[in-house]
Amino acid sequence: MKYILSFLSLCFSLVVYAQDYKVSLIPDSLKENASVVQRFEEERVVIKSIDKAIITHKCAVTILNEAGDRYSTFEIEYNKLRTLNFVVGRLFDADGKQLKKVKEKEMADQSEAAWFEFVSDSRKKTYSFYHKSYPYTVEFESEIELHGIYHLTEWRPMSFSGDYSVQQSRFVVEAPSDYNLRYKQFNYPTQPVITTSGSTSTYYWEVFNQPVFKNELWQPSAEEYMTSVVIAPTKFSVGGYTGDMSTWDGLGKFQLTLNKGRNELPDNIKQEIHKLADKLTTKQEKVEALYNYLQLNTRYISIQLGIGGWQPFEAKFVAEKKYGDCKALSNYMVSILKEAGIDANYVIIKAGSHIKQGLWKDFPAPYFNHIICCVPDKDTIWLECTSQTESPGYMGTFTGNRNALIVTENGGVVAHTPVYSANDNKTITNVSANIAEDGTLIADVNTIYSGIAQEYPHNLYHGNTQKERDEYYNHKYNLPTYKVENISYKETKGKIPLMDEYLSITSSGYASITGKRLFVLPNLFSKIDKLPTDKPRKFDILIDESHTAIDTITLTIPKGFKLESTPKNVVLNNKFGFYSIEYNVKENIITTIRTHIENENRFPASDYLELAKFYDQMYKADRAKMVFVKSE
Amino acid sequence: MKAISLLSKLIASTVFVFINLLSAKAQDKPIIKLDKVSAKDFQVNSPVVDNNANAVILVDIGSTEFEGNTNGDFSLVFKQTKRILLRNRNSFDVATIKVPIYMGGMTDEEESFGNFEATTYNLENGQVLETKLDKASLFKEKYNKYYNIRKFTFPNLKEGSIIEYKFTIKSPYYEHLRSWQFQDEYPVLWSQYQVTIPPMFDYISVRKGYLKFSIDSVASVFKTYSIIDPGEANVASNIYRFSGNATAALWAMKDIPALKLEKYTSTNKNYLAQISFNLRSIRFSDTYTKYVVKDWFKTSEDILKKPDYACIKDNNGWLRDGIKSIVSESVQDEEKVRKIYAYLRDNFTCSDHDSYRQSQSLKKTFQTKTGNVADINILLMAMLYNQGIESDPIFLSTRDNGWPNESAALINQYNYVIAKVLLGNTVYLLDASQPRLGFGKIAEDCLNGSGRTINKKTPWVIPMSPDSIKETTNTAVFLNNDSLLGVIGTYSSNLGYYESLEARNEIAKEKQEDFAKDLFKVYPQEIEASGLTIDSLNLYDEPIGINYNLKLKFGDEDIVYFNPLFDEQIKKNPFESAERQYPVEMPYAKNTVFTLNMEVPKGYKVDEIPKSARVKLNEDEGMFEYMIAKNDDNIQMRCKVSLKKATYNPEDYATLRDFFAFIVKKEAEQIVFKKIK
Repeated sequence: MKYILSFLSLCFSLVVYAQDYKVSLIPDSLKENASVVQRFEEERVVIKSIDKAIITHKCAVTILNEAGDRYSTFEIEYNKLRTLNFVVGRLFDADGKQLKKVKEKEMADQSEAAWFEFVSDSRKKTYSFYHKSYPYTVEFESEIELHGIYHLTEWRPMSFSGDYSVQQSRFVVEAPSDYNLRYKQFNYPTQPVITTSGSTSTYYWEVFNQPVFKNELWQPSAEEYMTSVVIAPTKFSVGGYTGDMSTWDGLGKFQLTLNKGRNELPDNIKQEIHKLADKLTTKQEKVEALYNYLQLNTRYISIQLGIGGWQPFEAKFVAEKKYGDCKALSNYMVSILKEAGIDANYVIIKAGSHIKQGLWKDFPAPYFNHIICCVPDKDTIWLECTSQTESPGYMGTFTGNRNALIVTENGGVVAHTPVYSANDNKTITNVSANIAEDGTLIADVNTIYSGIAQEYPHNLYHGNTQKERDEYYNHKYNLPTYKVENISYKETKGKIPLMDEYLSITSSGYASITGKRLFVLPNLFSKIDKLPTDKPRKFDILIDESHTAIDTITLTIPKGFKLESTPKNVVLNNKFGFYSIEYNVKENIITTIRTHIENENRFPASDYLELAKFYDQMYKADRAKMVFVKSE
Repeated sequence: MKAISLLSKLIASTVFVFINLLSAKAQDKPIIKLDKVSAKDFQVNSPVVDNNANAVILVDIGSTEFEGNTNGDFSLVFKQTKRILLRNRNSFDVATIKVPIYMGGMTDEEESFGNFEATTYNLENGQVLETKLDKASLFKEKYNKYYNIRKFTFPNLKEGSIIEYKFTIKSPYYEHLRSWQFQDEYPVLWSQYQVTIPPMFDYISVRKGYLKFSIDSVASVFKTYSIIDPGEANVASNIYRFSGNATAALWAMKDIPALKLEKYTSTNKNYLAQISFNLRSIRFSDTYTKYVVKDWFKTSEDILKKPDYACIKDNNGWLRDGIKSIVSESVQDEEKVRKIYAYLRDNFTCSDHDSYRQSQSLKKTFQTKTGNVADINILLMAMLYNQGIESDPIFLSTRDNGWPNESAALINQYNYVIAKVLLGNTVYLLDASQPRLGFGKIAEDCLNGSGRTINKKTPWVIPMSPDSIKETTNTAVFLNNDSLLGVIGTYSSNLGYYESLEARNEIAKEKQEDFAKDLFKVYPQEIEASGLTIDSLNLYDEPIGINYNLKLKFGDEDIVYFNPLFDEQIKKNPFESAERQYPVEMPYAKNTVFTLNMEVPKGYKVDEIPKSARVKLNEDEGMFEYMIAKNDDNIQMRCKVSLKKATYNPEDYATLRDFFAFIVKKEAEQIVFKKIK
């Protein structure tokens, strides 16, 4: 033991963790831009066996000012498969003197499921010290016991929040020497220190003195620039099921065992399926009809109890109750399709609108939080089973453009979900408008949204009442005093869904009249904002979505004015995209055509100022005014 | 619990007195027994149901009755039956029901939940099909130490399903007779609530909302109650039976529109149709009635006697040293009060702004430097008392808690307490729970009409009307020609008090640098703002001043269009919606004055300037003034928007909106400069 300790102190520059929280010990470089300095962290995972592990976590942060208060609140989630053995919190003053200690029973305990889930066995303990004499330090220590191992843990010592620096953080994993622990590290310069004592191997990772990390617009995913380590088992066991996740195939096979025997449908449902599908000829038609059947007959209700966090409810359950969570509904959809003779698979995916990477192909592990369904083919049909309104085959910002794990009958296979081009994601606006003598604008606006661009109007149309839409449109535009009326939609479902939106807008004082002059901003709606340039760019620029916007605006102004000044036509064409705005004035009719195309792409940080300049030019062009003078 | 089990013995000797029966003329009949769901129930035809109604509450029936229990006391029996039509899938969330069940907190007598039934009805080919919820799908969840939640969600839902559920809650807490909400976010076709009260109990009912009752009646019904007193160890239990005329009150509403959310409303609670109850008294015998609700003199006395408030005047010797270091050399009362107030405000954290009751002991508050608003302001009063300075608690109801009803001493309607101190001839209201709040200032959320002095001799109402608070913001811009830099100038603005507080809170949460960035972001490219200084940022009693420099880049344009208000102009009408149901409630009356003194840029002449204008809002409720003048070298303008009150009735809404429409339009006007050739 002594040997290990001296070995460690050679490896790590910090010799003793006396856990002295004196604020004077914080290096100045860590205080820069910081509201919070993490003083000490140790996350220790002790793997006892194939299905038992203990995770202890101790973390101390010094709160420098009021803006950092949000980090003084402690929160820990636990449930039947993750029980909480103990938790303790301590408060220290600036000199590192302990002011207060709280135990578990003084902490608030609440159900995690109280509002956003229907039923869950997850609960959380929370505590806040509400201290106000800055700086102060809070330390929380907890121990969680895993009953069954599937998802182990991740170590992410740094924070995105823009005011959080890290003095030290350590990740320790102890496992039986024959355990076959797998790990994947991101932005960690060396390999972990691994020591073996008896039949236990211990892995150490540690970072020191990480200054505040400032976020930038359109930065690549965190794993590209932040230190983190993901660990995963090889053989594992949870809830009485065992598996091997060293390959994607193995992880898929494990899900197969969880799903086994859960596909059986009651006879009445089988009959309904055949009634619907048998008369149809193509696979596409059948899938569409059956997906529509699912959407009409089920709804999303989240139930997460024990192994039920990973195992779907049986198809029979959904058939009877007509509800389920993503697992239950996807499993039900797979069952329905199979009954109709269509090969379909359960798909495990990481959902969320800012997820750029669904999984790391070289490191199989359960990164996921959602389940969908797919009908494999050379042009695979993907189905989101928790939505009652989505088009069959459409995978938008929630699940599109990322790798996912398809659970086939033979095991797991990684596949990429659909990506949409600038030609798929379009916003085409046609405006026909009139300006009256007093400056009032009356406009008929038709916009055709497609692909990702239609997601917002789609949700507005399906998820809101007419009254709520009225309210939304009457807040949306940056117009002086206005009213939006006659809002209507036409929806076209399909692989690239369309939403056709119609509005009438009346805006009093849109054009301003000062004495003999009339000021008009001909570009009514599409206005780009500037990019911040106050700090030098550090990271690559990642444009993660392609999009085309074309506005055609025909504006009639009162007769008897003559043009005094008009903005110049602008055409900008560069590697970042294409922008143009052109004006055409014929008597009292102004026609404006504005086009902006942007493509999914990645640029080096050194391109940033050029990109910002492009945005400045568009910003200015979008807001250019036309001035007319009353003819004498 | 001893005192309560005595209840049965005392009231057993009571002779019941007949109550004069008041019965309003019933316009509709109450529903005694609900008909089974039939095909016609799926078709709704009502003036309050339009396309916006995702769901319709077909019936909502509730009742509370008293029942003798086996603990020598009464229980309340609350029953509810609700039937809802889910017109489309956007209302499916309504089919997940959560019923909170009180578990007692101090005592461990839990309310009981029973007689539960839930059924989904679907209309298929003209037939009503029933799907019953199985009992295994009723979940119980511990929410916190006070409440359990019973949860269930209906099976087999389709667009157009009707769901129906019922349950009974038995409760020993008859101080908390359940209130009833008639109105909902969905239209309600019929809602009724019946409360039957034994003669020895007397409740005050409080109604809210503007809607009319279809039934509003009180009848007398003959009732027999049996109470079993379990007795003590080795003493046989007793059964007490008593009969008499109970009061049966019944309220019902028909065709209740959905409650709509509107901007500039402090809370919907003020408008939502509902009825709530406060236990006024229990008559134990002819000669003894226990009053729970009393007049304000007696109520104040009781409050001040309870440990929560009595501790203000305790010896509190442990406070002495702490106070000594806070007030140090001060001898003047006012100086001491200011120091103690600032100490609490700057060093204590308020974790909950929603209580007039202490959550912990005074000492614990002092030591942990945290507590709810009552903990902190009671500590303030105790510290003042320790220095020989008397103060009174003021109870109030915050804006989001709804208007208080000052006609009876109903203390449960309050949710906040501050302190009142008299220094010389000046009354100061102090609230140490709000960071950065000035001495004697009231937080915006507390400006809700009135507060109540808790003093057994002078329990008077203190008016705190938003209309009485005037906020004034003064901004001045000077621009002149500089031979080297072109047009440069200064911007200085003295904010109103609440605006200052808001700015202070923002600056505390970010850096001044970021604050400046946000502030300057609004200027167009041609105008460069820099060098922000802020006056009085840490002098919390004073409004803050914002100053910075401006530089205009006119370039070489032949014609320059220039808005003299910069970004101070109101670009968007704050009153967006075209119609209004409820009053506009702003937190205070607001006055903004903007002045510009500008040299005509060198090499240019004024080609055109906007015309001066003045508009009044309803004679004397507000005014907009736009005064502008020029000569060859200078332009002067003064723009003033003043609102004389904070609250406007729905009838005045259109006028208010038009008033702002005029301002928005006028303020968009530009000065035109032309190059001298």
